[in-house]
Amino acid sequence: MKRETFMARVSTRLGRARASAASQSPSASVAPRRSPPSTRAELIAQFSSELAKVGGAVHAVRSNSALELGLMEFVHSTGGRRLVGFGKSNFERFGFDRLWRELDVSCWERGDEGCAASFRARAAAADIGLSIADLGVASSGSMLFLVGAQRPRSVTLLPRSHVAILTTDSIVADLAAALDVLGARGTPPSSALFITGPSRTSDIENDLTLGVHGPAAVTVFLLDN
Amino acid sequence: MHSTDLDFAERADLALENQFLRKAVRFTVDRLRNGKAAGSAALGDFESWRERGRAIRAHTIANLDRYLEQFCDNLERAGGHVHFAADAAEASEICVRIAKDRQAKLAVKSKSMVSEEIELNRHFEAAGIEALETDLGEWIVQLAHEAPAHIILPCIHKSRGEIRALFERHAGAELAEDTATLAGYARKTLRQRFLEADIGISGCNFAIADTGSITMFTNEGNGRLVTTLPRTHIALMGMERIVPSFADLAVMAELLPRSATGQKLTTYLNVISGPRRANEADGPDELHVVIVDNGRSNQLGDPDFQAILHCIRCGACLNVCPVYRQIGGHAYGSVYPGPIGAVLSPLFQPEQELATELADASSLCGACHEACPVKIPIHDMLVKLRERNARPGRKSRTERLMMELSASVLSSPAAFARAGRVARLLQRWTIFDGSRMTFLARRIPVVKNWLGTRRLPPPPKRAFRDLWPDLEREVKS
Repeated sequence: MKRETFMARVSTRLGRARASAASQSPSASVAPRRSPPSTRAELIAQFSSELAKVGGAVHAVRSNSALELGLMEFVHSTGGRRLVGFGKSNFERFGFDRLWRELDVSCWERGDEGCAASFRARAAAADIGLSIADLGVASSGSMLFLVGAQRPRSVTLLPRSHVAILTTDSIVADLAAALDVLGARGTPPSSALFITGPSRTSDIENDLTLGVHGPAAVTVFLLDN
Repeated sequence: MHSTDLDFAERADLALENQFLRKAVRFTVDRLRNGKAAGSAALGDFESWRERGRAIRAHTIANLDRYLEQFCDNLERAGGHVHFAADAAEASEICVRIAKDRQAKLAVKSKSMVSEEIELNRHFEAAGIEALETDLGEWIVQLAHEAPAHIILPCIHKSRGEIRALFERHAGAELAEDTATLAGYARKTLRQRFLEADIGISGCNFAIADTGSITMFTNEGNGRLVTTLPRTHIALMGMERIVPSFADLAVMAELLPRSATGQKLTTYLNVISGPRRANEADGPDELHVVIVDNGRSNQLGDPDFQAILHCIRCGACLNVCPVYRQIGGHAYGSVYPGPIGAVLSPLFQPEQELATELADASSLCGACHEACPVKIPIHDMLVKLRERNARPGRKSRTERLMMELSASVLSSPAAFARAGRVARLLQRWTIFDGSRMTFLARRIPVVKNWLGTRRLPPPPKRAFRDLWPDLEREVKS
């Protein structure tokens, strides 16, 4: 059916000739609703406890070197060998060195256009996905990942275990605040993903099980900066 | 097991005889309802949130033409394609054409109620394209050749043993019965199919007019896989599933998961704005959004029913409904079960006889209205539907005669008293509580249905109105 015909029917049913400008959505006029935690420490505490409630693990680290060491220990402890990660330039600010030398990490790099299929195969075979979250959401323990040229979807999706780095200054109070930040950035990315803990289902006799399609484990290294 | 050759009463009888189903339905709806209570309490001031949700949905639907136009413009700007389907047949046709043009062999699907509504799988199969459900519950239901029994948890009617048997037949090997093994089998098997698939098909919880985005609230991750791995993504969207902006999404995102399962947020909330962009490693090359009318626009401008388009498909009304609790989803014989289904089904398929009787499957207690996160007066709509069903030509002659007779008896106190006396005496002399003259009792309309499961109350020696003069004296003294 043509768009004009489809839309004309909607307008006619609503009793007008054609779509008219709408008044402001009521959401804009309603006052903020909950009293969010006010201090950074409260935000961090709430984020960590909410994520733990849905089965995520949080490791707090205070420096770049502690982050690197923590990540390497984590990878060894899981017995995972193959990693897949966001583009390396994303990690520059953390100054990793040993990690790149000692672990087998496949990173997607811009300009790798022709190799999308091979990247996908590596991501599908990887044990661990290594990512960086753009925002944390304290009220629900969620992390926001903005997909982009250096930030593939597969990293947070295909491996059984997903490890994310989140800096404490990027934790916001709630989803409304996170969506405000997203909206203020202008054109949204092709995909903005809020991830709240590991993949879950209760489809078999209401019995909760993790990792039916997405990662069974979500681990966050929370870097206090 | 859409037993559409049976009528509603027969399907309900089947459900009532299935003890496993009844126990499973009760357990599930209690779990979800308790989850909702906890989740909404944690949010605080849930009534104000409901009011915000209602206001947003009412505003959006009242301006649906404008928001749909805006959404389409923005989605096209982001590189997406928009298609418009007047009815179920056209919606399926569009999807099949997209798939055929790409020589697709396999389409992987995440949960989409609209795809069930338009019977997409049947059309794909007819076109020689495999349509594979990947939500664990939907896959189980597909393997069993059945229909979903609940909006949120499609396979609550299947026992662990039945699921194992289905998987063993599929695997051609023995499997253990624990949840981890069964879910692990699904992961391993379906992961391979995701990687092979040509088309990914998803639903859309809310479109966002302001940005041209579609959003999906999911828990398992299959919704992300179908929108990440195949080259082509088709999203099916009911024309009413839209909100103006991110600020509105923020409100709906607090209401939908809490009302469905009690979660503060689902594991994944994916806000998709167009297909994969230059230099991105993954994601679909093409995004097609199919906007489906299929009876929805008929409700616009109807003061009694426009609000049904506010529905966000959370399933909360199923979980509180005393009728759904007894009979589960299949008895409704429709894609949308429960109170919401009893309203949606006849509105979307006015030509189908099946749907009209669903309005009677309600005690009109109003629990659905109280549970609804956007305050849809579902029980009022059920009354209006009954009114429609009682219009000339829609009920049998006998029923109409009986109703006319009752009307004349009930509208005169004297006639009512006389009729009561006669009926009391007749009952006393003949069938009494239904245990005497059973050959006769089984032939009396209404009475015979009653006697199927219980006795009649025995007629009292004296009616209340005869007792009243004495009682009145007692009360006054």
